[in-house]
Amino acid sequence: MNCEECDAPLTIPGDAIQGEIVSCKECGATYEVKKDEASGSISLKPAEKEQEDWGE
Amino acid sequence: MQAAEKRGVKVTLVDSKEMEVSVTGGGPTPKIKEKIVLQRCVSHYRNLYSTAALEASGHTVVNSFFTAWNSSDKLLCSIALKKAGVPTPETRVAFTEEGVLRALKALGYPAVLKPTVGSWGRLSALLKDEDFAKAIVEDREYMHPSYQVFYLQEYVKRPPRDIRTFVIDNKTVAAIYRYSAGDWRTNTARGGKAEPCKITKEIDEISVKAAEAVDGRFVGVDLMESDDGLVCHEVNNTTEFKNSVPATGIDIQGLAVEYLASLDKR
Repeated sequence: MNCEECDAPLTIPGDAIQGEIVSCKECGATYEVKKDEASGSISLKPAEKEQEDWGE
Repeated sequence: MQAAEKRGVKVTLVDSKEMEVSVTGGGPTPKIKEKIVLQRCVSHYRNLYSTAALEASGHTVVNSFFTAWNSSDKLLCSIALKKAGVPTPETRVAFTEEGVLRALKALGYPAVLKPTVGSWGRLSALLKDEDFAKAIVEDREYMHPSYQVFYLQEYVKRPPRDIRTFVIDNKTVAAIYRYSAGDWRTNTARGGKAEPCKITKEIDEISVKAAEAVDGRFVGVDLMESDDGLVCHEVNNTTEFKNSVPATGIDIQGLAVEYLASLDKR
């Protein structure tokens, strides 16, 4: 899978779990891991952007 | 997740973005079989209201809605700390420029302005004089009304660091010093550096008392070393620990899992 922003290849850790955030090493764009329960296949979707109410 | 696996505790991940909850009967969809829920949502509003909805569905949420309500809002947290007799910096709230200037006169310059919710240090400002304060208030008048609740706090003279402690089930389990990264704010989310901090009797006592003030079961407590001793300025109900585990070598997530598993048996 390649980055939607800069087309660099994305590395997904072998033990990635549902909802994990993966960053593009080239441009820093973030993606969320989606796992298909039935087939176990993994896809990525652009992660949510930081919102004003995020934080501790 | 690995900490839970290591202890043989079964965990199901629930993404609040994909959940909806009937609060009048029926509970969450997808269904959550487990009774105990560890709330990890970084969005203040999603965190608060999903906690309320899950509690209404019979789940035990850590931390509870009571804790989330009274700690994730900085003003309500200051009120709770004061009420519980926890030393906390002098804090005022104002709603207009006139009120802000009067509050700042009482606090003295510089003083700290923070949004009441969210943050990671975002939109926090160190108000150095009246002109600066007026400019900030004017800016906020063009923002969402929640930013016109002006939470103002004395600027505590302290070393260029603060202390974050972790309290699980009324025990202080870990502590770090957070050093600022060339900024007056020490948030590690802003690049602040974490170093281990010894849990002294004073640190332990104020941390536990602060957690109790909001009935926090797994919380991060922020302390400052003032000239008059330790003061607590925040309790975080969805505390982050990714920088603290390597800094302290303490398995914070493992201890949290053990606490949650013990709740399931109570």
